Amino acid sequence: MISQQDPARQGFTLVEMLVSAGLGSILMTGLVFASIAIQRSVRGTDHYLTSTNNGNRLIDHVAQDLRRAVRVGIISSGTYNPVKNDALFAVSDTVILAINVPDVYASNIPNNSSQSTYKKSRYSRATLNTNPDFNTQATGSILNGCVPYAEAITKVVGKDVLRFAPASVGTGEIQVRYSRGPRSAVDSTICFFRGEYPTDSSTPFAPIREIANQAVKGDVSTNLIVTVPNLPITDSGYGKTFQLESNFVPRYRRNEFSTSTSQHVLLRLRNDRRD
Amino acid sequence: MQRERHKSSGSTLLAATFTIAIGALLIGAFYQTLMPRFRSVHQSASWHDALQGAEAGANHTVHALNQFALSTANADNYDWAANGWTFTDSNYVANGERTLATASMPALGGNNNVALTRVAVDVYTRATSARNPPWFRIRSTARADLPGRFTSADRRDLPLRRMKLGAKSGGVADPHVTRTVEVIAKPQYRFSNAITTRLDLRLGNSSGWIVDSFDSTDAFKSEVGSSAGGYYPASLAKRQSNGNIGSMMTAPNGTPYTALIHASGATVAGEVWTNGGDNPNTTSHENVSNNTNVDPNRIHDTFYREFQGVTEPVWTSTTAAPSGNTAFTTGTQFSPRRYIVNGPLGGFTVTAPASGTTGFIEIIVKGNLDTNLSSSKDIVIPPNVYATIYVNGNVDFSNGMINASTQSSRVASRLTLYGLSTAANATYVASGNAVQILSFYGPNYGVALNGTVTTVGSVVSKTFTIDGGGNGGFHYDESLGRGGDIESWKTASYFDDSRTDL
Repeated sequence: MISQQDPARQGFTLVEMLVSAGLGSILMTGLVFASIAIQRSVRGTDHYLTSTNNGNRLIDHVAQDLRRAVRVGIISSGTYNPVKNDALFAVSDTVILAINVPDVYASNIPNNSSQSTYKKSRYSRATLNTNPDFNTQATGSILNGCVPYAEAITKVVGKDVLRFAPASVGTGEIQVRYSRGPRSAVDSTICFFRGEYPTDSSTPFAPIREIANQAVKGDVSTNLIVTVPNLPITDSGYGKTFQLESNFVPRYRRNEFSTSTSQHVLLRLRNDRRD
Repeated sequence: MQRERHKSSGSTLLAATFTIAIGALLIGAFYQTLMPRFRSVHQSASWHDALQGAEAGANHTVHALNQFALSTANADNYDWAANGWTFTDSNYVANGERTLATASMPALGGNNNVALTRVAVDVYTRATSARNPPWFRIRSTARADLPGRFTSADRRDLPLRRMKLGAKSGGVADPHVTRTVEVIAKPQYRFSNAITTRLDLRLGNSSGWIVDSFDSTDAFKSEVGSSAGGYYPASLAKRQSNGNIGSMMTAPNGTPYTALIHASGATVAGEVWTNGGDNPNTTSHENVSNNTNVDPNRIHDTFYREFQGVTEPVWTSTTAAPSGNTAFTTGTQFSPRRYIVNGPLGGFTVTAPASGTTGFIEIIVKGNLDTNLSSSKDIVIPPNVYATIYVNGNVDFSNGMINASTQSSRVASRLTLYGLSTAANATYVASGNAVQILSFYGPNYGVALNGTVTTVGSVVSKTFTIDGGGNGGFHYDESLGRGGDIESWKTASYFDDSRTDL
């Protein structure tokens, strides 16, 4: 007897079902694995880029200050020591990188309003043009409208150098300090901080600012390492050449021998040192 | 039949759509998570590029200053306008700010379209020495394009990079980052070293022959002198160690490490500079021979200097030389008495102006300046006189007292001598017990001192040679390095202005 079934209503055979279910399972399993792999890749790339950006920001901050520095040293156990030659150290909870830069602004108290004294040189052109303090000479004198020489220039280590600020204001330098420590009392994430201080003061002009956090992987974490090459004193780069290194451990590595990824910047101080 | 086939195709389409949707979600998640990170890297690159641009603007301006210096030694005579600089505010022109026209700015470019947006120069301060030479302040701002208007992946980037993400130009989005650097350029004076030569430099061959320094304007670094300033001190405690010497002589081809300055056993209390010649792989300094009395830590081989030619000044009004060339008189700072001597000139005396005034005198000598031509071999410049002499021929001071007699100022800044000769063998000689207190600029002159000649001041010449050991010496007056003719410009300070309003 031959059944008179409508071909359109015919179901799958058991074999067809098993094959299709098997193929479907393989496909879904592949998709799940692919999804997991992509997720791992995204996480790994995200970690890599985040750490790279952290290192970039950290190095860029320090490099910007070093380029304009007039003194460089470390503060350890509360004592400042200049760093000039043949040195290698990492900024840590106990070693603070201290960079003295010119004190050029009319104020160092943060104020983001337009044309604030925080953003303007104490000797801006407008100030020199109109402030009576800089126009004390007879009308028409060529010495009006500029900083008096005795206020502008001083002698350090036998050389005429810019003072940047009158003696009544201070040393003409402020000290930028790079330190490391927990983000806050309630957040133990280790971070790097930048603070601006009057020289020889432990009180910053404004609260120190977090500039990067320390990405930790296993027992290795983001570092800021400063290297000063060993150069003869006659070398023009003596005391002025610094290498900055920030390194981190990527989430995934080719093998266990590649311990970390690092960024390096080699730079020279643009100013003559005063120490 | 056909309708049923459509049902099967629908299932396939659904599966494909589902698969594509998952894929799109994954790709979307990838982009949403990672693109801001990539953007941060790009923003960082633009920030660096902008600094390169700003520093290029500052370098361009220092180069412009050095070009100006080749045309005149007086910074207040620089031809700014002809080189695209105009005053920002015409009410303030003495020391006011000049800006460089956009068309005159150097073209930069690159992938991030780095461009200078503003370069300005003003006078930061003026020295107190004669003519009040300025120290210029250069402010240079450059920009670089950002990849888009989207903010950084990390808020901590913002205080550092200070990007203008919402900027528009002509109604079109123009996200960019700017950097500003401030450089202060200080003048380098012609007489910034004790001895500077284009070629050979040989010192006296005894350890008693010394190059050192003092400062005639500092009572702690000189001994009581005339009203013009202090004298080279007898006290060792007052003597200084800034008697720097430098030579632009270069090593011959094939012998890169060789003596370019011959110290000859003399003592040099100062830096010794050559233009190359020192082997970096050895501790001895091949560039300076017989250097036992030179501090090895003060021997360098990175000297570089360009020498300006000096031409005879053109004067519209001059005074006839006095009879016998024996009693020259002076004028004022802004109207100096100017003489042209149409022939050689021997030793002479400048008559002191009235007490309490300062006299200025300038003399062009069309022939040799030779003190053997007169009965007195001396040149007398009183303490209240500034004398400038331009010599077209050779100089021979024999064993005279040049600005060194008791009637003279005995201060080097009061007698400046320019050698104008372009002859291949132009010479400047002195001998015996001559004492010369002056500054001499003659990059085409061979200076040869014979015997126990003592020089106080500064010399710039083609060559400098000491013949005969003697116990003479060279005592650089440090005040010469702080004033006078400007030869070039040097960066005195650099500051990356990270706070200025954008």
